[in-house]
Amino acid sequence: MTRKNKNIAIIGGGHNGLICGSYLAKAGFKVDLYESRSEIGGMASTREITDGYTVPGGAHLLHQNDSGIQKFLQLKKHGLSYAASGLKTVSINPKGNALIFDDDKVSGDDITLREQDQYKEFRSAMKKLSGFFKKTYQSTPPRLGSEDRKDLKTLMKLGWNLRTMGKDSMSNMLKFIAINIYDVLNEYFEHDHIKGSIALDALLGNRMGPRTNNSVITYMHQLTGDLNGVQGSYAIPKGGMSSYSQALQKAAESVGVTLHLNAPIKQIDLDSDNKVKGLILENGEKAQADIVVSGIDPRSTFMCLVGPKHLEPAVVHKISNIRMRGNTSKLHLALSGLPVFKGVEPEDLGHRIINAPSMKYLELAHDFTKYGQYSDELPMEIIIPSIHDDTLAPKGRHVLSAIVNNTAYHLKDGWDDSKPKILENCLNQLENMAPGIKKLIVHAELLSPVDFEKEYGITGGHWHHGELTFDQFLMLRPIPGMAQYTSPIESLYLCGAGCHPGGGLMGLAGRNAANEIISRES
Amino acid sequence: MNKYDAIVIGAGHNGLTNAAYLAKSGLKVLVLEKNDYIGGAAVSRELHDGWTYSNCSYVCSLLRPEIYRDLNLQKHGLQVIAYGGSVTFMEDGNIFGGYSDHDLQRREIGRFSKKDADAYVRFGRDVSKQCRFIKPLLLRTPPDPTSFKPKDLGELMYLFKRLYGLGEQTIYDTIRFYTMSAAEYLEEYFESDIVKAALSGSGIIGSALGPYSPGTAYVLLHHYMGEVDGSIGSWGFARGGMGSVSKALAGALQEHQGEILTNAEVTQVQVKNGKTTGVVLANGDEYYAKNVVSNLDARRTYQDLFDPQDLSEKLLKQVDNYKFNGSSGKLNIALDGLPEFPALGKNNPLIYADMHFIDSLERIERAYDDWKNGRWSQDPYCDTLIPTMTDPTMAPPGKHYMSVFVQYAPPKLATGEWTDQDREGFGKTVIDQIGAYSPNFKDLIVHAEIRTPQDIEDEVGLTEGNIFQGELTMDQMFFNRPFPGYAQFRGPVKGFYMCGSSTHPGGGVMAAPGANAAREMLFDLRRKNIVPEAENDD
Repeated sequence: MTRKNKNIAIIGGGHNGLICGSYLAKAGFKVDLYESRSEIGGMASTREITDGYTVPGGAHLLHQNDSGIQKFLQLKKHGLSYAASGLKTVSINPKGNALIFDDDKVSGDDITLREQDQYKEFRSAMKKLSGFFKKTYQSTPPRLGSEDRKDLKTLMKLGWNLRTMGKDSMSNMLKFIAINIYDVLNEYFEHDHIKGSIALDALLGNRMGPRTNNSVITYMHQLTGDLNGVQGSYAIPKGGMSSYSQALQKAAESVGVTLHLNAPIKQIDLDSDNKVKGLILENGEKAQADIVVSGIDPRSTFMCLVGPKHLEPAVVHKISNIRMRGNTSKLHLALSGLPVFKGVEPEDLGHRIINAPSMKYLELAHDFTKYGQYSDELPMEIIIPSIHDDTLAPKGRHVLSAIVNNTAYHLKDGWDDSKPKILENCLNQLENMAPGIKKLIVHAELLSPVDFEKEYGITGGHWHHGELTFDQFLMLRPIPGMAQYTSPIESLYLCGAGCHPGGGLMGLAGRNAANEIISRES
Repeated sequence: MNKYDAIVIGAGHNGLTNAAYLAKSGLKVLVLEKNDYIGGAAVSRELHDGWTYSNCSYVCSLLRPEIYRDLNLQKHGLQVIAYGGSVTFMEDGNIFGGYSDHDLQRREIGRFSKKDADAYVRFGRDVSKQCRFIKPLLLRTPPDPTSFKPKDLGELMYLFKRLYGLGEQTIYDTIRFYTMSAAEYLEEYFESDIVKAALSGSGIIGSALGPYSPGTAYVLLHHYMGEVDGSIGSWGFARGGMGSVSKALAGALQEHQGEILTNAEVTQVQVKNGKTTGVVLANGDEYYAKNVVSNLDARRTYQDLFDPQDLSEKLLKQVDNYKFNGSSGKLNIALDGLPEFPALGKNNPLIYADMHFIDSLERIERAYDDWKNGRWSQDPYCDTLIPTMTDPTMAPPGKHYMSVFVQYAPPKLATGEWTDQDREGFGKTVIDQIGAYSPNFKDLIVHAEIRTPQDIEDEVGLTEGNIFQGELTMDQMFFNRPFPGYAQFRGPVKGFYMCGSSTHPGGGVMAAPGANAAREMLFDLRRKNIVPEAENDD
């Protein structure tokens, strides 16, 4: 059978599914993509919270992109443009002393020259280390313990990349890789506010405190992406987050991917030999396919769509042990005017505003999470995208989008009872940061991890389809022995963020999976 | 004559082991100790009339059986008696027993969950695999991964082959084992909270991490290591207190004409033209040797004994960044009689065991939260033993000695340095916790020595009272211990070495770092290696 004769069905129209589909279609496969929602994009979408006000539904900044994919899919040609890019980070604290991070420079809050130099040194050291990850992220992780030449070759390459990064960087890598950002930051800085601000980058979206080992990995992870060649840069796409997905959609359609919206999948259809036959949709329709690629999270894929009875108990055990309890909520506000944040200059208001005054603050917030509780003080990442893009709100009005960390999926009191209280806490917190903001609120909503689970179908509402920790990283992602985008079911592949290299809008999981499928199925 | 082949600074158990091997190889060796007794943290001390306290370390944790036999420690008077399991007292009045007998343990777990009893078989098998993998590495020198020297490349190859030999799934399990939290690792096997809490205890001893901190799972193997060693000496009481370990090691040293000088505090290592020439004592005496080895922790060694000009800026920074995170306290209690534990009932052999009074992961994790916030744990994890049940020589007839190791106590409180009042408060917290399970306990107390991390530092010299001479996290383990570039026991100056728990494989009364350092020194001196390798039991 040639490629052209093979039908591929992709489950899930998130960015990874779209990217995977485009690469496959370009390679000559016939690709059908099924999305359960009425629009494409998954977590990279827009959402109208009340008449005339739209906000990013999930992710709100373009951050960890891979420029190789952007070029290959010609996303610019397909309509991707930025309302703002190269955003600075403005870290506020209760005293109204803001710190401003602009790539490798930092200023404000009585920071000393020495700390400014230290910050440069820190960033350059971390960028070097994340450079190693960036290389590693570009290909399928090797199988360890395997005698296969391809695996050994990738492993050798990994070793080679490590050895050739320079003695100091290699030493740093081996020292820092498995520890926490708390210890690393204490080696570089004394200023509490700087430390808190940097630590937040390691924690957003994850269930960790600064002292949790593994938080160095997550910090480096978010540094791997680049925008216009600048590592770790932030941008807001023009027309809202969905315009990113729409560009991907156009790219996919231009290479011949057929999209099916409102097409939730009930089951992956298997023959008696456990080989993929196709998909069964919720409405009972069957779609034949030679290959199925799942862009949804691994637990939903195997436990719901395949079913445990088709899997070995050891695999079921590992799948059910994937740690994917979401920890992140979204706060959306429709505002009748621009708020004024304490200590933030009006021209900085359009940048990325974070609330992480110290590592202790972040650690305390995490301590509550550990016991299924929530702190009154939650770390946040806030943007006001309507400053850059007047299509998002009525004239003169604005929308605010905030990622609120440390809101556990499992709350002891349950989300139904807790949600109004957490929302109120968040608003009170905002009122402290930006006095008067409450009066501007036209509409407010909080989306919890449970809401994300319902809305986007991600188990546990975990943004990255599984916590990014050492034991769920590289060749151990999503589970040990399944890191090559393959699965125990013949012709079933995975391409979502649950696979190597994980979450963020990079799309590398989708592309790597496509490459793997192309090499195996040709 | 104050000229020697080698001088060892500090007569802790590693210093003595190191010296014993150097002396055995035929070198003229001198050990210098600042206190008027030897042993460092492996000591027996009579601080109350008639009672002998193992007032720092209290059990032989993984003392290498190879060294025990090789140095004839038995002949020098060391008798190690295995002790009787563990017991956790639960809030609801129940108890959970920990037994070294596998089947007995399974039955005990079965009282709480049948599923967990089955899981225990899998758990035991998986952890034992890890023990067998790690054991030989304890008596090997870590390679420098950045070096291209044949010796390092060879050792890296050895490690790679060993790891690869485990087979695909076990390699993954190994990576997971070293990076996961004890709690999450246990949650993959067990459902019952008491089982998880009881097993996770070994993962937090001595370390400023909670059961939910990633990087604590691997310590679970301590529980199994003794079983895998299968020989006496790895886990147990030293008859006569922990001082017997030091005494036996000193005996081995003296058998080979090594010398020990107490009340001899070294204040300076002398360096000339980039080479070690000797040491200076606090009283001004000078001793000369081309080889000097320090048993002190990495920070004390480089900050206190060296002229900063003899060290590179990079090293000084590494020393500064070396983490201690002291987290442990200790109570030594003289008792007028045997305390009653009603939950145990009459004649329960678990009175010989290691007792704990905290029965859930959440409680242990909260104890850790207190440490983070600069408080001693209000509901601490206490590792409590009555050594006199096994070794009556440590107290007058009919009386008892209780050793309580307490996790967590910060080196400094949020309110500042420890005061006498704080120390009393800390002691009361611990005594109250035990008293809640033993009605006559408080009345039996004749004398109690309460030791905060600060006290341990002041007396024994362990920075921040860290019992491992530095936190055992991945950035300070194996080829990173104590710092990258210095993991092969050699210091920055020719002829200077480190042999304390700040070096590989770290803390515990194992004697492995001392022996490892001796092996490297003998290599540099081009003498035959006489330090034993780990025995293979595969």
